[in-house]
Amino acid sequence: MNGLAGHSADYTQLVWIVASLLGAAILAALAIAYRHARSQRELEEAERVIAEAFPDDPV
Amino acid sequence: MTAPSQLSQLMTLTCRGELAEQPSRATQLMLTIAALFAALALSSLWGIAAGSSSATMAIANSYKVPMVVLLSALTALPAGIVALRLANARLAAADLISAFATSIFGGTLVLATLAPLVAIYYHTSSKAGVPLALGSVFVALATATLLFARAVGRKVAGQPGRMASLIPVVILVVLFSAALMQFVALASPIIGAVTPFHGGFDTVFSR
Repeated sequence: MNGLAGHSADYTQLVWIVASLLGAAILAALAIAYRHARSQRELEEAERVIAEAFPDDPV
Repeated sequence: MTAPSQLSQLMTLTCRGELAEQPSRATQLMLTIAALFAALALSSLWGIAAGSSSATMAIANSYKVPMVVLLSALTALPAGIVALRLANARLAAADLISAFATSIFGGTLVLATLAPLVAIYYHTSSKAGVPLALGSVFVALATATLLFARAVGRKVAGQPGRMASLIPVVILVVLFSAALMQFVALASPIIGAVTPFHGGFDTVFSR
């Protein structure tokens, strides 16, 4: 790990750790958003199947 | 008829820039996140190849390189969305983000494809190993840029003022590259040799 912009290598490493933790938190948030979107899509798919099976019934 | 698999949809979106049918909001979000996760996995492969000179570096690269890609994308994204709004472009922010994610997927696909070549040259050539590793990154960047421009171009095709949609594309590409340079320096060493990029902007533009 280099020291950048006149900072020590320890400081640069600390910045990298903080940035990595931020990235990991965002990855976790994205995983939750993915699961939510998948549930939403399954619901949409189910509604589509029902609408195709019973075209005369208003949902 | 069975629905196409997510990977198939992702490849179609990356190669053609759009799907045959307009996806729902939930499907688009899923594809965007899947593209990003797949991109991180592919970049991890390249990281392992580029750091294969030592086991420690290869293991470290397997998380460092995806993190560098993710953080660079996240750094550039807000500016791209603001530019999209300020340019009054006829493109939804979700479409821009989706095109950005699939282009990153396309770029990292190139990186992963070149990873075995990088690894074998890295171990067998003292002259070509490092230039090839660096060159593969530039090829991936160029590929991702072309895919991004094409995807956005297809989404706004035939609409008035479509040039305004290219402003956020340019801003995103420039800021992604600028952020990438600094995150690479922060995560250095990624390649087991000193390169002009180990010190970021300061060493790249030192002369």
